[in-house]
Amino acid sequence: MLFNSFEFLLFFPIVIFGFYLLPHKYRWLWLLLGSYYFYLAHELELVILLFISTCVDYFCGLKIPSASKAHKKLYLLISIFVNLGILFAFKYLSFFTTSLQGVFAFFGVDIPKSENLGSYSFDQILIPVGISFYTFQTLSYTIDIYRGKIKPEKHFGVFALYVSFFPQLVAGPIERASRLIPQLKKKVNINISNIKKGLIMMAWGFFLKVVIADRIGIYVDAAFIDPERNHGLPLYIAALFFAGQIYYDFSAYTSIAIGAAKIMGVDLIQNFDRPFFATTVASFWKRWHISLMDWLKDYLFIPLGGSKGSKLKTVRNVFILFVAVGLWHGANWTFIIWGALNAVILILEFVTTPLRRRVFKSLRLNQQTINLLARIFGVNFLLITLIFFRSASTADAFSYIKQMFNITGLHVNILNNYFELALCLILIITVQTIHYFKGNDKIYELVTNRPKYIRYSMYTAYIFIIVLFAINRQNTFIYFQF
Amino acid sequence: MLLTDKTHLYIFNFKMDLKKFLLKLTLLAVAFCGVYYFFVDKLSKGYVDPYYYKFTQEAGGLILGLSRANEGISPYIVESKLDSFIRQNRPIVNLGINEAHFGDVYLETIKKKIKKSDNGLFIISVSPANFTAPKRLDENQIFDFDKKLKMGKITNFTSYPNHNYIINTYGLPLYSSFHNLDQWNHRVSHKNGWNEIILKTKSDTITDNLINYWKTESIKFYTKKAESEHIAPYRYDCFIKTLKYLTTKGHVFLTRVPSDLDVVEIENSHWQTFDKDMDSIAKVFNIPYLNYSKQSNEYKTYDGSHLESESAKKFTRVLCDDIKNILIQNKNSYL
Repeated sequence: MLFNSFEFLLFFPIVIFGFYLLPHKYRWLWLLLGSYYFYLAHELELVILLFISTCVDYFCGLKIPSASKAHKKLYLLISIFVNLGILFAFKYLSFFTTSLQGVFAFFGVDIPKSENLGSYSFDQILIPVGISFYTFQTLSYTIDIYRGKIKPEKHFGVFALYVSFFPQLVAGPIERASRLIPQLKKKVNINISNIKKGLIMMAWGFFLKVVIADRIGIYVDAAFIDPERNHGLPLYIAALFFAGQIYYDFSAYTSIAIGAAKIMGVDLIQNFDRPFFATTVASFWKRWHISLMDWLKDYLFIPLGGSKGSKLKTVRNVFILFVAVGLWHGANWTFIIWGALNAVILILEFVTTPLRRRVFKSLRLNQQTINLLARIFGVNFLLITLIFFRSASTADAFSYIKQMFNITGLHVNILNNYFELALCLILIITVQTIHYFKGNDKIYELVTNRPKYIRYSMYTAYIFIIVLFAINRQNTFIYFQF
Repeated sequence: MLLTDKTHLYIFNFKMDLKKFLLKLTLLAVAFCGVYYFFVDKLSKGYVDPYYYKFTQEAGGLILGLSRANEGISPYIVESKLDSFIRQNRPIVNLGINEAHFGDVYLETIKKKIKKSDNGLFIISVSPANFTAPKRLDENQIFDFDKKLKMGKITNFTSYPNHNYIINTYGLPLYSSFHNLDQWNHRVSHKNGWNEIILKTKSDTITDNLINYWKTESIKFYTKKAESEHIAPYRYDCFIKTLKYLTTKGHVFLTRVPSDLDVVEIENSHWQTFDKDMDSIAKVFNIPYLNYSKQSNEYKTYDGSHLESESAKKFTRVLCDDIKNILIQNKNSYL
């Protein structure tokens, strides 16, 4: 079920009314049923994978604390093997077999393509929606128990709800058990102020999705579907727009998730902190998809040694971290290159910091100019890497970049609709300004605590903006595919 | 335990607040629906998109197929030329759509359009393209794929105004009800579903240079598309199902609308025995297959594939004359 669908507009009020009408002791069951229904509406058959992950981690989680040291490790390995095994089988198997075939073909060894392996093809395997999100969420649970950070949850229903809590099930934020489970168990009374804040966050998310992200997406799709047909500035604008599209799309989802959870008395963590205002690549990654980066930092980067060892070791760890970020997003070389490019730039930034400081000092640049230059550089760097993220293949990405630098005129618009292009730019600037002042998490302050007549004017304006300017395509959120 | 006065007051106030809050929320939801409905209604009474008028009436006969049927066959001419044979008080509607490949979704649409109609006239434009589907999809997935297209999304195929069509398929913002974003000044969308492409408008002309450029682009597009698509057995089966159904509802004619020879060549390279196969199927169903694909020089396309207005009219007249002759022959043979 999509947040931006008519089904959700029916589903959500029913869940909320049921939640508050039921006594506290039955609420977990209601939410669990709601969450599974939400997922079933996406994928009927693949819900079994969610259930398997839940059962395995519940069982391993219960066993770890009382087991001997060797058995503790065994239970942890079972959890990791099952979860990553499912993830690998459904998300990466096709990619790895194709890549292996490519490697063997390079050495002259011909291996039959997957479609020739009987009647079954790896290419036909469907990737379960949100699998990377819930796998990471549930993995963190067993690892944290193994590390002695948390105690296992004994109530199977509450644990199943932690894995499947519908607001963040398919696209995060990736929550830790230590934060989410206590909130799911806590008795929640109706709090009108919280409900209002939640609704405003959801409304803001809908606006970001249907008015901005989907609008920008039309321009982006037109450019990326066949980059050979365009060149120069329009492709640069489309790449720039894609950076905006993915941000607004994902932060729209996050806002709706946070708002929906808030209405039920649950505070989810923020996934973004004004990423486009970062002045370094390192700081960008601290503000972008925070829950994933924190997860990878805690369970991959730090166990590898983090930045504590030699420079060379840090460089290696950063590289592994970002290739993992790329792979997490998808089984395609485009994502791996995207991750690797980010690693290279981050390493360059890390290595050249003293040199850059000296250069800036000798040029007598003030901090504001340095920040401005850093942002311009940052945005353009991001733009180039995201071309790989968005392209269907590496060949398409290189072709796009080649065409982008093929500047032969000042034609800017692929769609020949200047009003829509101007509207996109106005919306991007407006939202960036709002995010600059209010951050990603305090959007409701735009409305609350204002005089009645202003609030009502804002509600009226919102209705007209959504009705008149929304792109009614019920596009899925980009991050659903991960 | 008895509640104190203060607690009573608190609960009373809270309940009042909650009631007020829910009332306000309901009012907002009603206002939202009202405003949305107002603009949907406003849009529905004007130009919506090139396909809207295909779903705004019950039909007595249909012109079926992909974009070539959509732009190449005029129901006005069919009605005027074959009036004495049709004997229908419902109009002939052009239901050719660029996404209308043979499938269960298209068949259901056809059934709903001619629910109350008998003894109709059905002209089916065929080419290998009608039978294609993405290679990666199996039979069920093709059905799901079709369900996501316009015809799969709507439930009302015959009303004017058709709000259901707009709510489920209209992808542009509703401010289009003031200034439509989807109107190409070379396209005239007629109320019987025909989309006429005019080369010369008051403001500009589609020149031969532009036609050649579009033709090159079309060929590139078809070549690229052919890499990821194939002739799907599912579509063929549905084509047979469609013929079975339509032959019980009236006169059926298969036709191949002319397009540039280069394009025909690409199509034939993917299904080399296409015309022969269509002939065979036509014989099985005892219906004619009127193939004009080799008469390309007599007609003009605007992009190598689709007939422009004058050629579309000329082609429809030729097609109707041939149909007329067949109908007369059949009539005589019955006598």
